[in-house]
Amino acid sequence: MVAYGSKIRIGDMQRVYHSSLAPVWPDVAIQSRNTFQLNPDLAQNPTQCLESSAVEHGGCGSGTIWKPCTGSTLLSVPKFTDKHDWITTENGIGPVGISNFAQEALGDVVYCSLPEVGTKLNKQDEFGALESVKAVSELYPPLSEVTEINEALAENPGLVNKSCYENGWLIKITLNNPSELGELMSEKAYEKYIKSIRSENGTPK
Amino acid sequence: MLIPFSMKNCFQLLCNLKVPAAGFKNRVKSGLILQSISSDVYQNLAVEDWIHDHMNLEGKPVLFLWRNSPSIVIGRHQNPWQECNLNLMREEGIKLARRRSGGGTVYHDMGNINLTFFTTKKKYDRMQNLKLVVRALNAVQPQLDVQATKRCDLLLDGQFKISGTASKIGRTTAYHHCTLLCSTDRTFLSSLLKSPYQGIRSNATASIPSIVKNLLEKDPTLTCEVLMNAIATEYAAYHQIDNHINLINPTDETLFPGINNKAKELQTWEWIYGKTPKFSINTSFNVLYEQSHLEIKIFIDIKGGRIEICNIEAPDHWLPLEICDKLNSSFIGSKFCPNEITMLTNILHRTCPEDDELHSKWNILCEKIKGIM
Repeated sequence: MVAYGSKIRIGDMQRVYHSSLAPVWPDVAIQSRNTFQLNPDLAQNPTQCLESSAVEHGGCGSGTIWKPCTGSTLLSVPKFTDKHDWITTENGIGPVGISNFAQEALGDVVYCSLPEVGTKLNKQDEFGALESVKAVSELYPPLSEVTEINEALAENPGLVNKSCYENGWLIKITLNNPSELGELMSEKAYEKYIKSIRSENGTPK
Repeated sequence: MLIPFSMKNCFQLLCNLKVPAAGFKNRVKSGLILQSISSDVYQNLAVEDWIHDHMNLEGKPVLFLWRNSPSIVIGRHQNPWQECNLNLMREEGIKLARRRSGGGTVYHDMGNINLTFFTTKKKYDRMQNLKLVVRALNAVQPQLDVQATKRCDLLLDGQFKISGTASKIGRTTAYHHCTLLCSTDRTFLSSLLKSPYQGIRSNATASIPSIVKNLLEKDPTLTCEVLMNAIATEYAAYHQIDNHINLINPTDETLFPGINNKAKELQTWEWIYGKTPKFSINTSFNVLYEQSHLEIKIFIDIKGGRIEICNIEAPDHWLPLEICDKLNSSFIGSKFCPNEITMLTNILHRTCPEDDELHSKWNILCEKIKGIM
């Protein structure tokens, strides 16, 4: 049982839900499956306050999305790495791509080098590369297995520039360890991160 | 100034570069200029890999100067069959290398200088590097008209390409390398960089051919030695470091642990040819038979440098369909490489040992097929 007011991690969510969440949080609206939307007023109440830093912030506007961990993490908004990749998964499966900041910095992508379906990706390994204006930029994956690659990029690598969050996705993966997503940045946190990079460096070259 | 560098000094220098600035603000400008004593393209490319993978370049950029004996270097995602005359290269003993950076195909010989600028990812700035090169050239010859283009080429007199650029951006480090034509064999360059292979369909990155010129042709004082020294001097001035060019031996495992494995990997067939993006060949050739020409059609799909689909179509009266099919299926999975075809043909011969006429037809076909490899 997790004490109120204590910091929790994604792995702890399930216990909170099962033991106390339903009766204590009358304004919780249950969305699909086990995704919850919290009424922001509840954050004022100290006995119901859980450290927000332990939880993903979604872009839903009405509060925080809680993600109970029942063996896989449900995520419906993108998370970002400090290497400017995004990942959006449901049940631990989903697409990976590069952010708008990254595609702008790269310039026109002329070639996408992606791994074979079935490849097991390690965090430290390069999973592929994007070539743009004679520069090859390495891509680093989340920890996963490749289930699909975006075949459209073979004929049309420019999709990465034109539609980096939708049609320009690079690969689809199955996460080995969905709880590691908790280490990644939310959209808001990522926006702060790139602001700090821009002010430090000026425009990318 | 060239200083033959003792191993001990160099090792210490490299070790210092690996140690990150420890807790205090390191305002001392730092950097390193290295020059390879080797002219082996694989060993020199391995130095780039090693520095990229192992050196901490925070506040300590590196310039690497190198030249190669006659070689062709293709970009990371290129197709060598599309880019150069592999038959001619085999005849002349010209090495083929695939680099890890992007960009197009270049010819190297001892009349070409290669410059590699290593920095952290944050400090990666190709135009800054090229401006440095232009300043160095103008320091030697103030009247020289050299400009950098938007594509990061250097043009002499507004029209002749004297330098091409490519780069690689890693997790924390990046490098930008470029060529500089001083006294390269331009005729040989042109013939090597002309591919004779027809009917290739590929989405590999293609080179953009340019008219080139040597700096030495413009001004006889602009030799490789003069230019390497001038660039080193300018680099040292810009980074406020000592103007020392440190000679390094790229095969020295005490300086560069693991480097020989990197050089080996760069020489494997799997890297050089196997990394070619998937492509197909759709072409035909003629064979002479009883005083008439017969057309043989070829459709081949190649993935990872190996034949995935093979469709050789010959007129049935010259080569029966089932014999043709036998040939087709025997090629599947083999490397797209003349030696493999020779070996496969020999194996096929042994399946029909008495049939001389068939053997000679098979030989004709295989010679033609080797000709497109």
